[in-house]
Amino acid sequence: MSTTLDPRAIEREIGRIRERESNPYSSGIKTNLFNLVIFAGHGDAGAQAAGPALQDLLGRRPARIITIDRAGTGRESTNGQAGAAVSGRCFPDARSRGVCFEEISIFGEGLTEDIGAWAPLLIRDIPVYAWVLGRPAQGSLAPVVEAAEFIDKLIVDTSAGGSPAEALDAIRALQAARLASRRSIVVSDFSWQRTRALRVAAARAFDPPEARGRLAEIREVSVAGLPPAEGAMFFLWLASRLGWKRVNGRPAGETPIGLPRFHDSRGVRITLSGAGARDEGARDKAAPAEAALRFLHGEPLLLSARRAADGEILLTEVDNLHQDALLEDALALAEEAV
Amino acid sequence: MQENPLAAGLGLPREPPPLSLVIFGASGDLTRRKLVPALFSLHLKGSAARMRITGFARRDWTTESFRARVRAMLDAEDAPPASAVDKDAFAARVDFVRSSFDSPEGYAALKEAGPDHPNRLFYLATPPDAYQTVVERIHQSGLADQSRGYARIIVEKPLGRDLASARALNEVFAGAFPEEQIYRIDHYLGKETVQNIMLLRFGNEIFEPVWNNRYVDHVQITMAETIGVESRGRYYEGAGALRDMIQNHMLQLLSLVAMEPPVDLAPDSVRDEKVKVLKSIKPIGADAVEAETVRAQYAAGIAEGGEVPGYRREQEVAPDSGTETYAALRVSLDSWRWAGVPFLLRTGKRLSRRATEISVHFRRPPLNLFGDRARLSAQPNVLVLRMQPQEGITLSFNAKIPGHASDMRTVAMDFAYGSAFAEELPEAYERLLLDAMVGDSTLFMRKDEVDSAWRFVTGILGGWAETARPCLSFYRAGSSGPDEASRLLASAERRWRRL
Repeated sequence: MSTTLDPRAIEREIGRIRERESNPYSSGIKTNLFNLVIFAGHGDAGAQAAGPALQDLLGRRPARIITIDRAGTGRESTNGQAGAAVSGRCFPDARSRGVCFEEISIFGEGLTEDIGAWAPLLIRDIPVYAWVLGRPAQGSLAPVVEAAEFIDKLIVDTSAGGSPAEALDAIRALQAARLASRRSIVVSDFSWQRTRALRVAAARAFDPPEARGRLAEIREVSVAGLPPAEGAMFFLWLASRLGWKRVNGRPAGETPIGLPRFHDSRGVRITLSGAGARDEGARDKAAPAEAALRFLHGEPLLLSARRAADGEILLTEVDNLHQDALLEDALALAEEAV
Repeated sequence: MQENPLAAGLGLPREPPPLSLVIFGASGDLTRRKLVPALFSLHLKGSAARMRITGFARRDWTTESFRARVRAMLDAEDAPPASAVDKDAFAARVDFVRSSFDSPEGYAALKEAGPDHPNRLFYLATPPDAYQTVVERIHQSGLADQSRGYARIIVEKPLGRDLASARALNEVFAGAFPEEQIYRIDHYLGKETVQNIMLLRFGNEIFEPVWNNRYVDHVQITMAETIGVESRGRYYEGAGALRDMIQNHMLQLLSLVAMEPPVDLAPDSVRDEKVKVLKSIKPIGADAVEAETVRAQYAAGIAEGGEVPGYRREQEVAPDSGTETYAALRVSLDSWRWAGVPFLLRTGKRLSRRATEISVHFRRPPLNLFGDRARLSAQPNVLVLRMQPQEGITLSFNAKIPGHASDMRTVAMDFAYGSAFAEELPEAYERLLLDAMVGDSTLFMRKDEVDSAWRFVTGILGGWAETARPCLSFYRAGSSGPDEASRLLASAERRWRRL
């Protein structure tokens, strides 16, 4: 139901909903593991964009979800005033335990993203995850950086549309947010996680000791079926793990996936190729990620891996609060690559 | 050789090498209820992509008919939900060898298995009386050879029926396999909530400082069942509650709750600490069985919603049986940390409620500041670790009742595993099978653990036989056990936790 932004009124309403939805056979224990604050309405990313991933989370982790819908998608606020809607969704699992989302949606024009509008609604003493929908840019991440004292982790999707150059900008915006928070906010990226299976496949290929010598013979990396941001993330991971550096004096964005040229630790150029954003496969999140590593000698190594669904990724993200050091290395390299 | 730089920091999922899993006794109940569902779940997760499975049994089955049976097992209500395509793909990975356990031809057929699976994992899902034959035949046929890959064996309980028979069995295994390739399974150790004992103790700072005889009054470990012996009467007559539950599951729980922090999580580091606990248990022999133990048998009553017969009226049970279906012990540990703290163990069938839990009962505060009224209504703090059902943790403490007086009452902080992590917990067998495939023996029992546990239990069995004390008591089915159990508490302040 719709209510004002008065935190006490909102809490009262949540209490009423909890009571109504509670399972008479459950222990009555009210557990929330985390707060998830969703910032919607940046670019064309309405609040509904979070729906499928949230649906996968429902019934698995109880949480308070606060959606800040700057564009007020699908709602009419009265007289341009901000308002809030409160709802609850409980999902009975196999043992008839009600596992609930407490949902608060803040919408309307004006100061909906202001800390004072949503911070009092956070449940204290449990983690706060901020998920910014749409392609990250300096402007869209500003509310999170400003509220760094309330937020433990920032989640974005750098592959949310965009050209190779925009993808690199998005990656850099994520790194900028991390640095602006003085590294107090853990950052994570759906794009990065979608490349995980491909990274695991690449690591496995070099697990046999006899295969490791070929790491120094990589001359070309090509990716297919990936949005530019994912291709860039895969390459940045390889480069950071293998000590590759940007070729000095060359412009950023001269490779098909938006990155500059790199060389290995002995100065040998690494060619980077990829289909880029026009690749139809890149639009399909269910398409496998593919990459090929070509060497100085011998057959190329062809890699193919399933990309995790957004719901799987979101579950992983809300279950941990540590900074992925590999992502941090890749982001630092992206910063240098400009 | 340098480390693989691409593997660093990725947290690579564990992946077993190419292996052949042979299930001896594949026609049995364990295969149907536990092993096939667990292996199928691993198959669905892609955790054992390079594994072939061979069923080995005397039944007049073929590979085709065994596959059909496996396929039917996957359609059972409690099997992991999956598509028909996945079920068919799993069934296609299964072969069958029809053979008696002592026929060399059967083992020769196993040896002919393709060279693509150089590692061999043998699962003894047979009756215990077949263990020796199977292990000797494996050895004689060269299947235990470690030169092509590993050859490893998983053994189910019971691992003997006393210290002597357990040692003899260990000799049989040692004749074919090195100790590090013998995986003695206690499925309780594969349960998430049992693994959580170590995480709770050593992953938090607040518990360990009070986890000792300065703050703990006593510890209770309970494994209560509502079921009777069902179709296991013949087995149970030769076992009893002490052998069936205490020698393995309960002493494992005791060692986890009482152990010192290991130096790391390497299998032998953890097992070294568990063995120290088992070795520190004060023996209970003929002179102490009457004071430190209770044994009882269920009589007729009402359980699980209906009238049930007494144990002596169960199938394949002697009408004058003296087998205990309930046992309770007061265990003392001769260790710096636990000296003077009784560990009260109880297990029984046909009790009022199914419950597996460990409860740590703390001492009262040293000074009664709030008067006698408050003292009477306030209870000592108790930390309860619930393994099943409703897995979770409860801490009870005392709080002021609103008002002008300093009255207080006991309240509880409750963590329910299922309310926080609303997913089905992985089956113990799934975890343990994967551990065995990748060579992680942390959750399996080492020879000296089994040896120490049997030494303690054999002392009690000997004391019971020698003195015929304590007398066998009887309790009504559906009750919380015999009244005699209360004498183990040895203090008017202590109570068994209500079932």
